Amino acid sequence: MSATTKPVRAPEFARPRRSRSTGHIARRVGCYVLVAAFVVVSLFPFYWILATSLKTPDEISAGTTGLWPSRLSIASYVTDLHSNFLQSLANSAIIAISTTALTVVLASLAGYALARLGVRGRGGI
Amino acid sequence: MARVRSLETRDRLLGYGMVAPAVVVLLLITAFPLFYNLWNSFHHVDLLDPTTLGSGAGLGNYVQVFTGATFVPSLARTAAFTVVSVAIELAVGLAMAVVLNRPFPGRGVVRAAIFVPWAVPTVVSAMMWKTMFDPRQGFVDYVLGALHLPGGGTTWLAGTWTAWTAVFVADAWKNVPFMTILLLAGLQVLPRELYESSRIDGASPWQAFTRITLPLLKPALMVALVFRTLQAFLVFDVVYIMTGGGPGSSTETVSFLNWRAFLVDSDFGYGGAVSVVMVVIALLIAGVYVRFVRPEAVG
Repeated sequence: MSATTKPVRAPEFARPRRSRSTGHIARRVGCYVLVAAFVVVSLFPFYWILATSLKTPDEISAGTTGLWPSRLSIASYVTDLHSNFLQSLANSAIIAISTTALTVVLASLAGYALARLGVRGRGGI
Repeated sequence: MARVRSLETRDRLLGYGMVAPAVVVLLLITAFPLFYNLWNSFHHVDLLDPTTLGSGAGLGNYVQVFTGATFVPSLARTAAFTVVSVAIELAVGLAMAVVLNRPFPGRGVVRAAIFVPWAVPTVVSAMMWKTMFDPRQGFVDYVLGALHLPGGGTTWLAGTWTAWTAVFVADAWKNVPFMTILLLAGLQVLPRELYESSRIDGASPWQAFTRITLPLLKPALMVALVFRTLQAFLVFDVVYIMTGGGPGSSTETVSFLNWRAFLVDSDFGYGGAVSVVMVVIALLIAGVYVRFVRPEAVG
């Protein structure tokens, strides 16, 4: 990773003297390329999910032939809504709300007691 | 009992009452399974073998762990996985953190963008990468083929090394952002003056990096390494989802072996022993790191 060495010289005082040197420009370009590569690698799978979700079922089963859907279709979304999606959403909401409520109640009780009421053994926390 | 309690005592009693529910819950979900599992590990608890169920096994389960055909190879695989994946994540995460610590237009957006993978649950990201590596549905083979790079047309999850490659990619994709966040936070508190004076003294950027950044970043590096090493050592979901331990048992990690002992073979004695050994190893790893990090944290 030769790139790790480049960025270290700290920003403010990098500017005055050598700002126009080719080494500096090359370093800058190198950093931008690195950043761009990171962003693409991080986000491309999400694009792929979106693109696949908009393909027709036939195109999905035919396999990958390009980087975007040949024809946009919301068929997969319709199928999703007609299956158990709403039920799953409700289940997730039930779990999220109940565990959050339980945790907040138990933790705030214990937190207040540990901080204010001089419970023995709180040094361990 | 008409004795008047002091205000302090009343407060303390109320305090115990308020702490009690949380303590009970914690005992139920952590201490109880821990000790129950420890008990199991010294007994025959093979649910498929009712005749010996619950009888004492002494160290039998532990002997089986270390002399059996599966544990030691999977421990070696897990160790290799841990070293390689943490090394990849450390190298890439450090590079990203250093680059993202420099000011450039759009830095906030870029930081947000590269942290997105970290917010995806591991099961989801593993499922996603399994699809991405699929020769028909995914983009990996297509992109490699379109760029005329080696690897196009590979059925990744069918071979040992290609399956490991896929697992490493999925693991790194999710965990590099975590490394980056921790290291970036560490970089942001480093004093600028040191770099300034190092430049005046004629230090090259590389010298500034190795002599200033790395030593000062050591506490943050150690924290990131502890977290990632333990997580990598206990890796389960990526392997379970992407390869199912296969092909054969070539990608089975100790967590996967443990899961199989418990939920496939229903052998809670042997599984318990595997768990205990894993906990001991994890504690040893954490202990080693703590020894390394402590003097730095104080100084």
